Amino acid sequence: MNTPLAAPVTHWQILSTDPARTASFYGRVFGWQISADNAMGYREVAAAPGGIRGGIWPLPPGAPGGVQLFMTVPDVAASAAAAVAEGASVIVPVTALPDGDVMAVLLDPLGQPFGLVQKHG
Amino acid sequence: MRTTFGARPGPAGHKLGAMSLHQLLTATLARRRAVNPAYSLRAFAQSLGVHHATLVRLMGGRTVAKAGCVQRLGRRLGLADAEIQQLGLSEARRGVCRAITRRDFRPDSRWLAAVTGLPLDAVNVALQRLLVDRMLVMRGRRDWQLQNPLEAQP
Repeated sequence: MNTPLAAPVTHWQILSTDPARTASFYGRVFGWQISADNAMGYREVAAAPGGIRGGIWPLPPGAPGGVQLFMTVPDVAASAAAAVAEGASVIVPVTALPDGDVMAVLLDPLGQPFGLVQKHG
Repeated sequence: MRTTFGARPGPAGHKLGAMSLHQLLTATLARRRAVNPAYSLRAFAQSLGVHHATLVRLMGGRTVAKAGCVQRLGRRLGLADAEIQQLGLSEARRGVCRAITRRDFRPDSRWLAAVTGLPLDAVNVALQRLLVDRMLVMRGRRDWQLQNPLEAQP
């Protein structure tokens, strides 16, 4: 059995068919600070004290929404391979984002999506 | 670029499975001409509520239709809402692919939105779909590669 990887959840992401409306709702109700000032136009939710940062990602019309957890790992490719060996499947393969982070999105053996991220620098 | 319509005869009289907008328009015109050989491109354009020059560009695949245009055309062609949405996604995806193959391409969703005229969220939905379908590989901050250049073709 492999040694479990230390992979803290460092990011979450709401998937929404209407991300502007989602951002507006949480911003108004909970005061979330949301900025899309990045190359992908990704709506980043700042971490409030005691919390972790997150984001809001668009979905095509009619797609089911949801929340994904992202774990920071030292090597996305290696962790993805380890997950696949344990029954996960890859949705978004290892991808280098414009900000330098590397990410992948997988489905666990029960069909729950999760993300892996390797921080730049 | 192909939509994921179910392979059934659509209101326009064609199997909509695997048809892009320009293919759908071309097939619809052909079908109408089969019934009425005198049916003109201008008459077809009029029935769709677009200028005939616009229709020629759309049928040639040289223009990527924006969401509003797809919506109008889809309604005029009698497509269901879900089919119109799929057609819109397909057009957005094709627009993004074409932009990625430009010489001045910048790996940046905002740039893609600017050059395609698509909303930023539509660009990101298209990028996500391309990644999931393994049609796009982002190897580095400035290294995006389409795996099938035909994705950018009409």
